Amino acid sequence: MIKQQGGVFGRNPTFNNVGIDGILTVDQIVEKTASGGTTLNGVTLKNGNVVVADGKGIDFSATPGTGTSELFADYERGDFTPTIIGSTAAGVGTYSAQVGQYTKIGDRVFFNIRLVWSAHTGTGNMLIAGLPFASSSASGVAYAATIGWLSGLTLTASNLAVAYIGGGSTQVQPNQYPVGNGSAGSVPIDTAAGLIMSGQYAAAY
Amino acid sequence: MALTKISQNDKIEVVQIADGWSAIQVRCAKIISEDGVELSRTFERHVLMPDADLSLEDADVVAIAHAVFTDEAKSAYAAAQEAK
Repeated sequence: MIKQQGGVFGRNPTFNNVGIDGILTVDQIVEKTASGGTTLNGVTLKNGNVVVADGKGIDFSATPGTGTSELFADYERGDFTPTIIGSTAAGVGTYSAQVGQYTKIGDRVFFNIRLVWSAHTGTGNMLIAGLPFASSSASGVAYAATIGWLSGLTLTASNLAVAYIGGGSTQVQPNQYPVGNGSAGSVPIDTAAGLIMSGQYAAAY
Repeated sequence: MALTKISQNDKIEVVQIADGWSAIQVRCAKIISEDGVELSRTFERHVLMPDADLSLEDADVVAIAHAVFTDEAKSAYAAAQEAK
């Protein structure tokens, strides 16, 4: 309760400055002017969310650091539909598993994919299309993806499957790499196979 | 007690990928409500490049795609793909 000279204010008092040594309990804090904002030393939310205006976020620029951006302005999670395509002719396939999930934290997109397909009509090398965001096209960038499980995918003997995402792309490029030595090469598309993959990349913005 | 489910493109973003061409990122929200009160909202995303097939896209996406995917943009994108 705020008192003045022993009395109690009415329903809508106006103050220039108020100092409180103890606890102030309110139902709602409302910004009085558009430019003033509200400055608090700390905030504890009992049962609610922080809702941030579109394009705004948490600005860490007051903390030490040399990064070019310290604004945490995005978080999102959802689904996407990964699709196997051929590099020469995209083709179509029948999927018994076709799962894509993503979480975007700042500019970074984390994803996982599970695909099992058959009767695919694509030709050329295998690509995985349908990533949820286009990757950054900054000069020279590329991002690694990890294949955790393969079934029925034909590789050259003594090769391992690897994969990456190029700049400005929504596709994962699987490659195969000779065990021990050699250069990575493309993986021809298979009519039927399966894979589990996860990875991360920076989104274009 | 009426449950409703709607799907709507709640975010359509045009992102410039390189000089001359941009991608369109579409977020579709699937919203389940009960008597007008939202119970859940999930997202599904896809991205359209300038050579995308628009035949299965919603009208709001197609309208933006027609404005963004100009012949010049399609040419620039094709050239970029060829360079890769």
